[in-house]
Amino acid sequence: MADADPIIALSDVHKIYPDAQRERTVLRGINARFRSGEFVAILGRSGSGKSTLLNLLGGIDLPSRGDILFRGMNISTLDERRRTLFRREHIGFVFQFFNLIPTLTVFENLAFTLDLNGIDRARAQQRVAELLSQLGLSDRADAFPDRLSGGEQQRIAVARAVAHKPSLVLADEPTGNLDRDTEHQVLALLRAMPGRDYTTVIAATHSPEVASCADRILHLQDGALAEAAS
Amino acid sequence: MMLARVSLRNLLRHPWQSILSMVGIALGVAVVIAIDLTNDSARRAFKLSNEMVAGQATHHIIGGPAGLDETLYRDLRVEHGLRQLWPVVEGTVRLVAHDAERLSVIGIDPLAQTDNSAIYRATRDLSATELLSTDNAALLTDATARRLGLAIPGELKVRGAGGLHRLRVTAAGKPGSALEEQALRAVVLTDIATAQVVTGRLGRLTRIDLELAGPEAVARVRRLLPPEAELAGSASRGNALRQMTRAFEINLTALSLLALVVGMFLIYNTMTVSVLQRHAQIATLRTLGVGDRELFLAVGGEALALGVLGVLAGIALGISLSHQLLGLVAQTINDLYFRLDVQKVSISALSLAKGVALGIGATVLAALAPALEASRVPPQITYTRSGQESAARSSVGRLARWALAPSAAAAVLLALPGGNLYAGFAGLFFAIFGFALLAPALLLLIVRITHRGLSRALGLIGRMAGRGVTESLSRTRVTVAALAVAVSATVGVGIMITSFRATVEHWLVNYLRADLYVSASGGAGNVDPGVIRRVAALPEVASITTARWTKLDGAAGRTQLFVLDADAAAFANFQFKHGDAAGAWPRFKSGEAVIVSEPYAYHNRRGVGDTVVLRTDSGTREFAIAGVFYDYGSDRGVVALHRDTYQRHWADAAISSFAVYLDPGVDAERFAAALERDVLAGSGLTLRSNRQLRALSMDIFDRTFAVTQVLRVLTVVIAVIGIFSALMSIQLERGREFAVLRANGFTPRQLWALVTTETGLLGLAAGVLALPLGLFLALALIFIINQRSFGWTMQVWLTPEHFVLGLALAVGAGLLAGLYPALRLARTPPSFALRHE
Ligand SMILES: Nc1ncnc2c1ncn2[C@@H]1O[C@H](COP(=O)(O)OP(=O)(O)O)[C@@H](O)[C@H]1O
Ligand SMILES: [Mg+2]
Repeated sequence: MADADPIIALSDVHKIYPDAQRERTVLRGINARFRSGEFVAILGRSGSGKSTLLNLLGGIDLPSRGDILFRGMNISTLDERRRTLFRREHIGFVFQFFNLIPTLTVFENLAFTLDLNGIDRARAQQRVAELLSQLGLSDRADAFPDRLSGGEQQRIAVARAVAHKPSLVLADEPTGNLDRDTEHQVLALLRAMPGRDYTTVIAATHSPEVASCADRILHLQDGALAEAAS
Repeated sequence: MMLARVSLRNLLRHPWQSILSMVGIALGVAVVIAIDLTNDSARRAFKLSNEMVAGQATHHIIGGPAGLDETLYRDLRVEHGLRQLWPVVEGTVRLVAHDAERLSVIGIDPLAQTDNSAIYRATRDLSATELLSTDNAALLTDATARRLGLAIPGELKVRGAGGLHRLRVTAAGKPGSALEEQALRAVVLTDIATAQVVTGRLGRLTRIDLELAGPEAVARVRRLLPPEAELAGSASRGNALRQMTRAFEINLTALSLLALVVGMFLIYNTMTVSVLQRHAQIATLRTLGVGDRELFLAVGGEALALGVLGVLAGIALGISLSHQLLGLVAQTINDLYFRLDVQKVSISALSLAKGVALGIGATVLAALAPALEASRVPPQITYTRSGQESAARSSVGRLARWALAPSAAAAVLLALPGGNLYAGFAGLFFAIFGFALLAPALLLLIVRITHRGLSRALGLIGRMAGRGVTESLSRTRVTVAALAVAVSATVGVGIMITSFRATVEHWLVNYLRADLYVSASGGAGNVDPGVIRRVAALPEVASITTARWTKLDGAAGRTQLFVLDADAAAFANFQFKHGDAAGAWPRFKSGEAVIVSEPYAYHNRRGVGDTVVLRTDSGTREFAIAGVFYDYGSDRGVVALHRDTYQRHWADAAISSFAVYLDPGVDAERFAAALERDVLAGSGLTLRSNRQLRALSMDIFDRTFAVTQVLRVLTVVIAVIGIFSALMSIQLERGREFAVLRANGFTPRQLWALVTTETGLLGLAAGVLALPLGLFLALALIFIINQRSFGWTMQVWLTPEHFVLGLALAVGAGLLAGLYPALRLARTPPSFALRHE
């Protein structure tokens, strides 16, 4: 699995939450590298620290110890502002509860990250139209999220995560709230989304379905990450 | 930008909340603008009427209470060769046809006028000959003649200090501008001799206006003046008079700012609750790469949008409100200070700009905390409501400790020696702020105290309601603090007015001891001594005291004199703050000393043992102060002196009013009727019984506070509106929670009971919190603000009404705010709410 040029790499990453009574060590010395374009599933029981790990990868939170290198740049030393800009440009997030902006239409939700990245309006519109037609949801462009079904919302969320062509998509239980059929649709989308060749997907899940789609499966247990025997 | 769209849609998504908090700011701004416009209009009207006759004059010569001897004018012009000087006689008359109508009579020398002041311009075309060719000739403006229904030429029957007179109005002038028109609205122009006759000042001038170039000319005129006269710059007269209404204006301004502060708490409340409710959404935005600065600006922008719309509405509202308030303010100025005719609101850009700046400023200030809160939301989706709530609970103690800082600042500002009024107001606002920080801790306390009672009375629902308040502490604490502040403002102002009123009423009972009071109508004249002699000769009359109200104008300002010929018994009616009647009487009677009212002592920083310097007919003279007495009749204060003393130093025997003490057993009402019929008929004198005079005084008092009451009501409206929307949104947010309850068998009725119990409890808590704060505000207003503005000592009069009203208001607002969400939630099928969260 050695790769000279990983998109993101963790070395000796610890995460300790200062709890009220005592400290909680959730991650204890994680070492991992992720290549460009691969689809990785992280499995683990609820509370094992999957979300914590994704948050660290996305620069949402900082490790208590250790380094996270994104294309050689140590994001754990960036300040809040830089990490925000880093997320804006390089990361796409998909969450269990869809997390679309309720006050924006489907179209606007998709255009949002493009807008944040300063992509001009005409190109953004073209890109959103393209994404919508690939999802087969062009007719819902002007609907507000609460008019969509759960599966539709999650597909929009996936599309939003990839709209600005990020290097890394972090999906936290992306199908956790969906039934089987829609789970398949969303998974298919995650696997085969437009421009997937360059985008790494890391999905935290405890769904075997998700795991079965992955190029690689990692187990998070007792704060350590282990490669599953494949 | 897309983020702006998110913000905008948020405002549109909760239109009621947005509109209501806009209305809050609008009303706040409206009140501020209205008061400022009103004050400004009064100020302008004053300036205008003051300048109207001043024209190109740079100085004026003023005399004593009886004015100047007219020979001075002749001497200056003829013997000393001064050319640029104009004699003026001024006085007030009443129209016999409409008793309420008062006109200023201004007498001028038509031949001396080369002047360009408004009054001359207005009548220029009519030329001097008009005034000189007819006896008792008078000029009015066109508009005034029309208003009085007077055909030109025509006759105007007036009553002044000189008795009844007929003025022949030979022509009507047309003022050059609307402003001049307004300034001349209640002015009759005559020649000097006519004015002297009508106002009862034969051979006297009110003042002489002059144009003097350079200090040498000034020094020269000074040397030529007799001892009773003084030369003053033209500006000083206006300034001195303006000074009189300053405290009154400042107080109104402060109350209007209080309304704005309440409005500010409402915007703060709306925005804070809105940010809390959007926590998850904001976290999502953060993960997408929206920066903290952008979020800060977005939330700030939302508030600003509300603020700008509110301010725009506030301008329109303020202008129309100022038309309503103007009459009230003008009435007060006429009642308490000086004659002023203000009819029109002059809309000054500066007043509007001030209102806009304050409105926007208040909005920005109020939005600061919620905007900061939004920018601090971490980009973590793992956010939970319970985390928010436990953070709110754990910050209760910290907030309470933070309250120390503003409280300390308030204490320092309020206790600051030197007694600066602005420092007092700043202190007041800091105190409110400190209290708001303390509110969450007190809220928890109140919930704990009421817990058992609610639980016993309402069972499960009672227990749940209490818990609902603490479980939503992040939201409820803000709303309760805002409501408490709003209610306390009305409680505080209410207690202040009641206390002031009771103090004055109490004072009047002691002060007005005579049975009957007779005065020259509306102060526009004198009492004929013959009448007094006839009354005194009546067998029922035990004694009579006369009084004369007059003023000494000087370069340094105006001194109100109260001249009375009381005996020791009547003198004892004064209630002394320093000194005592028995000790002061001999010195007062002998003319060695005067007594001064409390506001006089305060404004001039004098007390017993100090002296008062007055300009007498023989030059300035010092009088010892033998006592300081309570008096609520004049907020600038008066100097009281015995008539013997007065007549020794001033050649003025005029009497403004007299009081009649009857023998015991005489029926005052019957006597009054007889007196009116047999002695006073046709004299132009007004007779009032003790009770009537007291009632009249209280009427004036109430008129003075009419504006305050209007502001108070508006403040309440602002408060109720804001709280209503905040409480409503807190409840509507809980759709899912209530759906679970419904799914588990809660009836719509039970839900309804739960929601209204909870909002009612919040209202009650706010009401209870408002009481101590309201009391504090009242005490600060009474002992610090009013004391510093006017120098009055007031007794604190605590009646239950304001507390009960405050509580009722808060609880009412709470219950009312619960009704709509309760209805809506009860109607929503649980499945729908569960699915749509
Ligand atoms: N912000 C936090 N503060 C304290 N403890 C946390 C925080 N976030 C997560 N945890 C704890 O860390 C552990 C791992 O949580 P999480 O990463 O959400 O697990 P997973 O996503 O695998 O279910 C859990 O026990 C959780 O309670
Ligand atoms: Mg998780």
